[in-house]
Formats: sequence, C-alpha cells, structure tokens
Amino acid sequence: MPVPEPIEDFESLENLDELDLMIASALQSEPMRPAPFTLHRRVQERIRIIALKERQRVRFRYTMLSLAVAFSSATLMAAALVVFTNFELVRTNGLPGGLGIYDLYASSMTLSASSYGGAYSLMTAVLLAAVTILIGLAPLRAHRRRSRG
Amino acid sequence: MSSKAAALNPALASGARGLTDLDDLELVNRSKSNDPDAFSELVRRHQHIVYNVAYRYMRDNALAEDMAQEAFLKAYRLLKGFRGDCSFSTWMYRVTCSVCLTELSRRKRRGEVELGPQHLSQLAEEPTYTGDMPEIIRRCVGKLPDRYSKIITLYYLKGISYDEIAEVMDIPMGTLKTWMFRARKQLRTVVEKELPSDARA
Repeated sequence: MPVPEPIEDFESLENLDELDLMIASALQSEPMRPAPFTLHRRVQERIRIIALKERQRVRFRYTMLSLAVAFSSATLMAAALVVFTNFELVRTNGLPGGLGIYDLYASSMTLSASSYGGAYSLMTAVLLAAVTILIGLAPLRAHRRRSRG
Repeated sequence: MSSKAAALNPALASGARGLTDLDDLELVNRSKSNDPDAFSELVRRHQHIVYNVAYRYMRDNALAEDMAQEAFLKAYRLLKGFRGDCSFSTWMYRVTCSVCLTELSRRKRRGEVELGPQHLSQLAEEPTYTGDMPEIIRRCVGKLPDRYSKIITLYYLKGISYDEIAEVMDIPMGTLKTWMFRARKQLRTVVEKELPSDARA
C-alpha cells in the first residue's frame, strides 16, 4: 500500500513538537483490521431481502393497478348501462327475462309487505353499485384526510 | 452462486471466475442490471477498507460492522446514481463517511454519548491513567467537526492518497491542505484537553 507523502511544512519534523509527534504516531500506528467474516454474508442476505421487498412492492403495485382498472371498467360499464337504459320505464314496469325471475320472487315476497311493483333487481343493482363506489373511494378519502392532517 | 451449482454447470463456474477478473466499473454496470453476484463481488473486494473507515469513526467492532453493512446497502440503493466520475472505492469512502457521520450525529442528538476520559475522571476520586494513550488520541478525532474528522480519518487510513481524499471531499487540493492544517491544530487542542495531565507529562 502506498504511504501518503507529507504535505507542506506543517508535516515536517522540525515543526512538530512532542505532542504532535505523539498524535501522528498514534494515528499512523493504528493497524488495519480484517473485516469480520460475517460482514459479506450479512450484506448479501440483506440485499436479497431488499430485492425481495422490491419485487413484492412491484407485484403489489401491479395488483392494485389491475384492481383499479377492473373497478373503473365495471363502474364505467354500469354507468353506460344506466345511460342507455330507459330507467324510468324499467323502474316502473320491471325487467323481463332472466332477471325477471328475481323480480318475480321479490314481488311475491313484497306483495304482502309493500305496494312497490317495480324492478327490485335494478334497484338492488343500483344500491350495490353505490355501496361499491363508496367502498372503492374510502381509501382515497382516508388518504386525503391523512395528507390534510 | 453456490459452489455445487457451479460444479454441475461449467458455464456458471466460468461466470463466477469471470467476476473476479472484472474491474469495479464493469461490476457496477452488472450490478445496475440486477446482477446480485456482481455486487457481492464488489462487497468482497471493498469490505476491509469500508470496515476500517467505519471502525475509525465508531471505535467499536460491532458498530463498525453495522455501519459497514449500512454503507453497502446505501451504496446498493444509490448505485443507479453512480455515474463513474470517480472510482468505486472513492465513492464508497464517501458513502461510508456519510453513513457514519449521520449515525454519530443521531447519537449526539439522542444523547448517546460515550464515557470519555473527562467523564471517567469525574467518576473516580483519583484519576488514574490506564496507559492506552494512542486509543484516547484516536477517539479524539471523533470530537472534531465532521469535515476535519473525515479528512484526518481518510489521511491516516493507509493507501488513500491526497488526490483521492480531495475527490472524496469534493474539494480542491489547496482547500484540502488548509483544512488538514486546521484539523491538526484542532486535534491537538482536543488531545490536550482529553489527555490526563500525568499522561502528557
């Protein structure tokens, strides 16, 4: 190993008194210590953990992104259905076909309880969509609350 | 890479041998493209010097090992920002010094101050000099301002040239010489205060 060459006059011996020499000697005589044999292994292990965490973070990000895309598409689809449906007509007369079976059960159930004879399936779907949107927006509201606080 | 896998696959074995032949810059480039073996080779090459830099700041084996680990992990995280303007070892010194100084200032803020000779003399009725004067002097380096302790530490660490210290500190050579002069002067003052009077005599 190259020994550092002295710089300027303050390094020369005549400018140094006993204390300076003692300090220089104490610092120069400090031996190079071998690194602990565990250092390399521990660094490797921790780097592996960092790499794993990074991979998990990327995976989580992709999962959340795909869920957000799925949720947004479902919401858009539901909105499009509502837009292209004659909502008032369906609400008052109910739905024919497969969904009508549910309306049939719902109607027969509610005949005794309520006078409403409209589309229960549609109403339930609209209610569920509203709840889903609220649940979907909950993290966003929490995030805003946290950032405000 | 395990030795068993290398033994079974000659290509792997030649790859492992190849890493030791590569220079630091090539290993850094490989590490940047997510090759953990390349970074492992960098750690193997520089662990001794990084550990010694850390030890000179922390003056404790366990703490020095922790700081050396932290320095390598920080280097791993920051590796993408390493442009190769200086050598990897110079950059590693900079990272290690930064990690150690951050830890030391955190400890100072939290009041985790080690018991120095002045505290010991307060505790004992009759101060006695134990004889490990070089160690007391070495500990005094840690009491200097950060930049001075940094240059003194690097200067006395064998194998680090002035050019390299100036590069690590990112200062011109003239400034380094001035700082070195002031650092020595301050170190002398600190040592005078810290050393028991009987030891100085």
